[in-house]
Amino acid sequence: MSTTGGMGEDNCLNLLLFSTCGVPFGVDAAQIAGTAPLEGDDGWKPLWLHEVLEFGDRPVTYREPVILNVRTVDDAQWRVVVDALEEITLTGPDEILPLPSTVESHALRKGLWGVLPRGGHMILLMDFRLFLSRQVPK
Amino acid sequence: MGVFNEKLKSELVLEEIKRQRAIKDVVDVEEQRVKIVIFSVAGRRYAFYGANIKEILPACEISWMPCLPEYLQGLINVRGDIESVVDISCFLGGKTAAPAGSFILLVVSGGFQSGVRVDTIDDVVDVPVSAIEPPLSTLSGTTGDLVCGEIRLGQETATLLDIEKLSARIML
Repeated sequence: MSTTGGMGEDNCLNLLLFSTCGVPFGVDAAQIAGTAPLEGDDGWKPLWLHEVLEFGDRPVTYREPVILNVRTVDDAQWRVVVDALEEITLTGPDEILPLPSTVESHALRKGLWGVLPRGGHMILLMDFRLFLSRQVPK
Repeated sequence: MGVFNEKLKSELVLEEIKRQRAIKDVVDVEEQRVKIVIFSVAGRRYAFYGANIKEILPACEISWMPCLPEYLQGLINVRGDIESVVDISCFLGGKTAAPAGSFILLVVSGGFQSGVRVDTIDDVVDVPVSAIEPPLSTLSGTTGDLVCGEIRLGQETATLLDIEKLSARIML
């Protein structure tokens, strides 16, 4: 995959779709080095997506927690726990909608940058690099 | 000479016609009307200028989104465009009724556009501009900051809200 965030010559994105606590998300698959089951304590403290995104009072339930090993520009090691991996789908830019200006500034702080409407749902597109560039590696 | 100083009947009639027309013009100016959308939130009546309402949408699923402030409830898909939904009760005090019975006003003002969830749509009326009175001096705090007038509707009143002021609060 390219280092330009998965944007190929045809400007399509390979999106890894998953959900966390019932909220559907998509992330550029080029940002994911691999996945691993959540098991044991190997000294690494992963980030839980619901904590990263401040889900607040929403009920927190992970049915099939999975660790995403995030590939960052500076090769820092990040592991983010998400739930229910679904599929990788090739998505054209014409399918992605920008966030309304009223929410954009709040969303970009957490790396949320767009919406993919699909099957009556809104899949929130997240850029891990955008978010993690503001974090200190654990 | 006296005869020439007297006005002709035609002159008198013409003067009367002009006087009547002048009065009518004044009345016409006074009766300039504006469209108002009246709605309820938490049992109180409010209004927006109709010119700021792009569309009235029935209740629909609002997709929750993390990391938004309390007054932003989430997103809706309006025929392929993603719009935010504002819970205006956060600015007015009180809480909205059950979402199932609510409406969403798609409001626009300058570069601002968003859905605003309200409990009920009570009326859409044309009212004389003169029916809009200055805001009550007793209003203060968050609600008072958003108010641009009071509208008398028979025995009741509705508080006219300024969408520009609302957008300024949201786009902070």
